[in-house]
Amino acid sequence: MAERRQNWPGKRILFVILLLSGQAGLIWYGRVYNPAITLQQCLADPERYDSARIEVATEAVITAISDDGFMLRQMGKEIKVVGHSPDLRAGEFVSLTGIYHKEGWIESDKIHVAKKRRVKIAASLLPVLVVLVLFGKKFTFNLRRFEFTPR
Amino acid sequence: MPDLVTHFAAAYFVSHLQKVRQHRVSLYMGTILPDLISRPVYILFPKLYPYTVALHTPVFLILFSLFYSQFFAKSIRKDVFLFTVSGMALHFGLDLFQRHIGSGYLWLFPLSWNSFEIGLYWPEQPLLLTPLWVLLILIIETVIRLRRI
Repeated sequence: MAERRQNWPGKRILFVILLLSGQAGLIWYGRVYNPAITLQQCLADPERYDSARIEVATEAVITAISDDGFMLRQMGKEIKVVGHSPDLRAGEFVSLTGIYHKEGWIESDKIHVAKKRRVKIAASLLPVLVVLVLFGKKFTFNLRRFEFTPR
Repeated sequence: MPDLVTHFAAAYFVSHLQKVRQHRVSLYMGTILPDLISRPVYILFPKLYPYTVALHTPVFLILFSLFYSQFFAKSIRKDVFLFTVSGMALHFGLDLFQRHIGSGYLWLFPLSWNSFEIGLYWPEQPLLLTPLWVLLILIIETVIRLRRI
């Protein structure tokens, strides 16, 4: 305990608290002041966001294709999108920009279908595992000093 | 973002430089951290996306690296910070070449909400080269091990 106290003097603890506060502040700022209008905002208040230019990119999936466009699902809510892309396919992730209409549809001018995004996510797990293994081989956690030290 | 195999491969090739070799784990960690601390949050919990806007920005990740390096022994703390930040810079270097349908990465957050990108490839396209990177890494690692025998 004395060793940990010596290794974690008040100055270092204060520095860690300051860093955590700074990070929390940035997260809060990003949440509150982001000027981008999201689909979720539009769906929550259609009148206010009628004819607003929006960007839909976060975990949006095509659920069905129609003659003039497709149905899009994001965060459990579905909306009709009018617009075309040669890559449209049900089940694929999609990002788009367009105009939101209060009647409950989006007039899209740019569409990008993120083909193989699930493969990309799965493939990305491999380097995470490799780095964690290498990290475990390189460092050990000293619980008494509460820090990683080289093996 | 390109997939993390591509990011890792870039760091792997850089890690063979003389000055980096000893700190390669920190470089690797730095190159995966920008996605590791942001993507899982909104992939698993999309409604939390607004809270993740800051997580993939240079200023947040510098603060995060400083925080992360505080949990290392004093003798290596500075190197852990420097090489973690270098890995993050490498990550952002690759991200800079991407294109997005709308706004891209917020390089100057929180000072500006504007983004800039060179736009050479879509985020999924580097995946096509992933098998090549894995093969190259395996060949290099095999050659290194054979030389040691």
